[in-house]
Amino acid sequence: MQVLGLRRLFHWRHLRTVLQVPLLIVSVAMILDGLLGPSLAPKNLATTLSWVHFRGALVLVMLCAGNFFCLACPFMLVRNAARRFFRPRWNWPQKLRNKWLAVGLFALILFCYEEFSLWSSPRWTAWLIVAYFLAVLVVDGLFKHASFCKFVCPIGQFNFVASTISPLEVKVRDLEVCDSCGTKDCIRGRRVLGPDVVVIQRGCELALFQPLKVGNMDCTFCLDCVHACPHDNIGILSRLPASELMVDPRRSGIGRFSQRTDLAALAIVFSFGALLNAFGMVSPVYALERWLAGILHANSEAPVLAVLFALFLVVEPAVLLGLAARLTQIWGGSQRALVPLAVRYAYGLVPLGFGMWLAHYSFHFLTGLYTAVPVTQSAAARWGWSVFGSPRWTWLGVPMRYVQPLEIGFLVLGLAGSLLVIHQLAERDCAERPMRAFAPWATVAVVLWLAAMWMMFQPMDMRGTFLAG
Amino acid sequence: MDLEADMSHAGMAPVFGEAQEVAPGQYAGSLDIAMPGDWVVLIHVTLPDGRTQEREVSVAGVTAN
Repeated sequence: MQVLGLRRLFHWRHLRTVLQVPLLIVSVAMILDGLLGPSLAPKNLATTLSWVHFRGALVLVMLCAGNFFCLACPFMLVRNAARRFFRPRWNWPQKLRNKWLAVGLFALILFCYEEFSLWSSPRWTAWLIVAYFLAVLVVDGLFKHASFCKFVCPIGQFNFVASTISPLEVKVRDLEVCDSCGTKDCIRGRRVLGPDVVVIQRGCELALFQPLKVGNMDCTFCLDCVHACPHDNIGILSRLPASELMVDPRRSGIGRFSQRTDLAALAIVFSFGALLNAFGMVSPVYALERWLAGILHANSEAPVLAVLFALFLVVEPAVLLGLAARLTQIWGGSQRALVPLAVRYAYGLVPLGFGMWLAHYSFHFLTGLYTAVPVTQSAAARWGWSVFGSPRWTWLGVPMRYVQPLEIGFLVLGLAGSLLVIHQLAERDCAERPMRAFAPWATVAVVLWLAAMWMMFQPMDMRGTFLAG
Repeated sequence: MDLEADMSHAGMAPVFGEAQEVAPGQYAGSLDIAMPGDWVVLIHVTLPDGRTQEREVSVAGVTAN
């Protein structure tokens, strides 16, 4: 599919900067308002834009298009500016060339969100954004290429996994053109030869060689490869959402999904974390926390949360995936060992996890859609700009009665996607009796979906701490 | 005297109300808080000379009836 004008737009070399600059300005405004503005979260730019608008817009853009938030990432704008002065000297350590660190950081962010009630704290939210800028500068100031994006950034990892569901992908138009290409600029960068070789357009910093790239995993949509390709043979093209989860070829810069335990762990934290994050917002979580606190004799939330996180992100996946893998061995006659089986099918839960993130974040986004207006008006007035008028605090968003059916739709879509992926994997594994391999994993997906549906019909309850009552 | 209640989470619907003087120096009003959780009640007061004052009262751990 070709959309007139878009091809030219994506080839415009300043597109990324034009998208990044407004987001950088917004980020700075969020930091300033978070640190200096009102402490009440609904009145502050940092909390409102981070936890209502950014997250919601991100998952909706993922659903409808692709990883355009990484394309517009303001952290990379600052990094690129800093790299004009400081050239990184080292390669990212070999032992850390995997997703384990990022999985840990992703889980840590989810933990901090609950522990420090980030949704209700403009100060903590502002410091988190500051920490992000500093982390980018330190990591990419020391290490070459896009080490931060590929191996560290928790938001990036979320985007990589979520974008496997997206309908758009950066990919090669015609592989035969690549076969005859002698320069491989998409990965090496476009160079001018002379006494000193000068790179005038860098290639992929995330080590994704376009002809062998499959899907959106690890792709930041930075468009470096699009600009570097001398044959205009790379574009943002449409595809079947989640199709990359149904196949297991050797992927450039990644390898085979089925051999990447760290990637599977990321997919598991993504999928089960979606349920955990939503569970933190409904009434039953406080009863569970109080019960756990009684058992642990805990007076603070941290140890209780640690146990909850261990239960939801480690024990529950281990039990469910372990059982499903064992049943696949028994019923399906699979010759694979338990862990490789669990790794292979863990990716099948990604659509369901994404459906849960989508239902959760789009709820906040849509029900609080217009709150960006009064919060911006209020912040502008505090900074002496009264051009926007007095804040219209009654501006909210789409009524809940319209949003809830949409949430159910997202969850059903997620379940359907997971069942489809699992079925495709089962057909490839057990061509003669795919239903026997399909059934255990489909059961896991349905159990998780039922849990998500149950959660959605629980009364919402947003407290900073369960100790409040 | 205007009342406003906000949830601790950004993006949630605020609730508005008014307080009426029921006795000299005493005001009463009600707010229909629809969701359990942590709330902050803002009291916006307009003084006879037109000056405005604002007070914040934290109402944590609101539970459903």
